[in-house]
Amino acid sequence: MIRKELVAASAEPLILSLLAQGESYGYAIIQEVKARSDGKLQWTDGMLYPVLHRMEHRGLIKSRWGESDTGRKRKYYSLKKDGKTAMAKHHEQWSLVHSVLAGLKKEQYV
Amino acid sequence: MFDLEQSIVEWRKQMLAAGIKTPVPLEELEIHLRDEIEQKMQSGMSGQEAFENAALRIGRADALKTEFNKTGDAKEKFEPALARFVLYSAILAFGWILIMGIHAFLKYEMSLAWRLAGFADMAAITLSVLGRHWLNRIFPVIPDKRVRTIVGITFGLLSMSGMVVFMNFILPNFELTEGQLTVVVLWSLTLMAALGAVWAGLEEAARKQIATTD
Repeated sequence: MIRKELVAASAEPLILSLLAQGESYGYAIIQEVKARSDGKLQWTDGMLYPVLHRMEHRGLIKSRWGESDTGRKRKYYSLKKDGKTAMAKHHEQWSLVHSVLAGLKKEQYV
Repeated sequence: MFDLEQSIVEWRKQMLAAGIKTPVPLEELEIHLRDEIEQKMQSGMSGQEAFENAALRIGRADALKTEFNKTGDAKEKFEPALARFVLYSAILAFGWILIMGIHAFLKYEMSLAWRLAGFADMAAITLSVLGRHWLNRIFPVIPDKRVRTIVGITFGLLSMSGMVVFMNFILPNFELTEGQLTVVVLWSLTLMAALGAVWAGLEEAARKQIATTD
């Protein structure tokens, strides 16, 4: 299981990246992250919503109420222009951290 | 006998008691809870097990309340009320100038050059209001809120004092017809309103920067 701090720090870039593929809703976002990480990246479900609301207040994402195929009401979130900018910055920063770590790991085996 | 609907009602009450009162978050959480219960029941869990498991995964009401409260804090942080007030005042001023300009052009006789100068002012106002978001990009990002406020207030004061000096000491030295006077006043008001709007522009630039990097 991944550490709590890392899970929290990765929430925003993951949400932004998922929404870049198209609009989605809270439950589907959680399921998608869970599936892509083989269940290793697990959020406390309820905690996703304050994060989504904060991101909406910051103008990174927008929301609309809609209905699912089964008729259940859902709040769909999608990316805004500022969200795309924020996502690019996140990718840049996480890639940097990853490349530094990978470089250090490589040196250990040389 | 376990009653799923009654259990959800009780769960809602707990959330409300903890202070999650805004309809939107609670409704969203309940939809999530129902999705999770449905999924768990489809995979073979009993209604009671599915409910208990899903409620546990949603998390404790007090912890959720704390997290939702941070959303409000964030809003206050990014949208300082005073800067918004200044911005809306500037937009109102621009609107008033436009109405005054149209009225003057219909009422007073003036040469083509003066009329064009007046139209240019109104076009500049319209373009700056409509292209406000684009114009905001020209403002530098000042991360320190105190510095931003000082710069904003300085521009605001400069705008007001400039107007007082212009109206009382500069304008009386020229002999202008009513039409010409209107055009000059329109341009001076526009420049003053633009100076006043600097604060809002600085706040918007900072907000965008913080929003995309925080």
